[in-house]
Order: sequence, then C-alpha cells, then structure tokens
Amino acid sequence: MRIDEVKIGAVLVVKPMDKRIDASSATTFKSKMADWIQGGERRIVLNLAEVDFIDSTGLGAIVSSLKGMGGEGDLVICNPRETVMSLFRLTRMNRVFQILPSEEEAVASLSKT
Amino acid sequence: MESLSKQDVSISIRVDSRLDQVHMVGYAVHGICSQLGLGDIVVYQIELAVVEAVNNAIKHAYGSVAGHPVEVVISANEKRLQFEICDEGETLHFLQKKTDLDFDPQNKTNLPEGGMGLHIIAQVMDDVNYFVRDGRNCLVLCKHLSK
Repeated sequence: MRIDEVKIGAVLVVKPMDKRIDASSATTFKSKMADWIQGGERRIVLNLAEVDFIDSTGLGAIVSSLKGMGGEGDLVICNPRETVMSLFRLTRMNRVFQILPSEEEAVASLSKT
Repeated sequence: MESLSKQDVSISIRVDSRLDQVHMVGYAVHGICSQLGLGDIVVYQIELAVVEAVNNAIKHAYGSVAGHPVEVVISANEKRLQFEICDEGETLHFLQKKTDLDFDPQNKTNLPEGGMGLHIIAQVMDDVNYFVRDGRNCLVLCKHLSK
C-alpha cells in the first residue's frame, strides 16, 4: 500500500493512494501508521481523498491508530467521499473522529492545539 | 442499455479463501447494484455488507487459511437483491445472534477495532439468515428494492 506523507509544521499529513483500505491492506496501513506514531507523531491528518472503499477491518485499523496515540494529540480525517462517510455513520465513528472537508481545515485544526 | 431491473439476473462468483480476492466480489456487487439505478451510498453499503460477509467466511470459517472455496450467488429482480455467501468451513453460530455496536465515543481507550462487520450487515440489509445446507454454511442477505 502506498501512502504519501508530508509534514506541515507540527502536523503530519498522510494520504493513502490506494483505492481501498480493506481486510487485505489494513495490516500494512496499520503498521505504517504505528511507525509514525511510535516515531513521535501526535498530530496526524488522514487524507482520504483517493480512497473509494473502506471496510470494517480498514476502519478498525484507523481506530487502532487513534488508540495508539494514547490520548495525546489527535488523528483528524479529511476529504472522505460521501460513500466512505456513510461507513463512519453506520458505525458511529463519525462521533469519534473529527472529520473535515479539506486538508487545509484539518491541518489548521491540529495546528491550533 | 436495458436496465437490469427489468429482468431477473443470477450470477455466481467463486473465489479462493484469500482476503486479496475479496475485492473482486466487491466490484461485481458494485457493478450489478449500479445497473439497478441505486444511489451511490446504497451501492457502497451493499458492497460493504457483502464484503464483510465474505471476510467473515475467510477469517472465521476458514481461519484465514487459503485454498478453500467461497461462493457468492447474486440474484436480482425488480423487487429485491439477494446475496448468498457459502463456505465449507466451520459453522459460525455467532452469525445467528443479534449484534449491537455499543461503545462510548468519548472513551477512546475502549473503542472497538473489530466486531463491526455484523453490525454493518444488519444495518444495511433487510433480511439476514444463516443456515447449513448440504454441508455448506450459507449466509443469505436480502435487500428490498422500493419502487
């Protein structure tokens, strides 16, 4: 799984470039996120602009990343398609994550904290 | 192009019990649902529910061991969509139970990382049945199509 990364100030923006975060790719995704978090990243934006499909295993990997931050900092999601957003609503994870329409807003949100 | 909704359609897909094959089932479901004129979110959610069912068969019925068959039969007519997901692995009795996804969104240490698939299936589908037939486990998911 290819994930682009860019550091904007204190915020790490990660952007999965694969169309699917599913049961076959979730382990790789989770491992890459864990590497960044163990490396000290605590303000992370997950840009889902290129992602068409997430299943519950992929969502579990995103949740795991948030939990891996141990309550420090935050993981903010941006640019989800309405279809992917419906997964967050179905599972009530839209009440867990801050989800913003653009990367700029997500970076600004984390830059304030 | 004639809409699929004007005729009965039945398609059978057989994949190996490998998670890297599940997306092919997803694409087939997506394509058929799109032809029925369903909205993007409904199409996504139906694909999601079927993918969750196939993932369950691979992970739990077969213990993530490759080399076993998972068959998905998709039937569609103007009134309903039906997906029959069958495997020859261990019978999963937990599929016959109601599942709630109960957690406190504010308590980040106790958020669920798994166990969401059955909740999704129950939310998306109108009827869900699980039974053993001729030695095969079958999960049947139905979605009623309103006109």
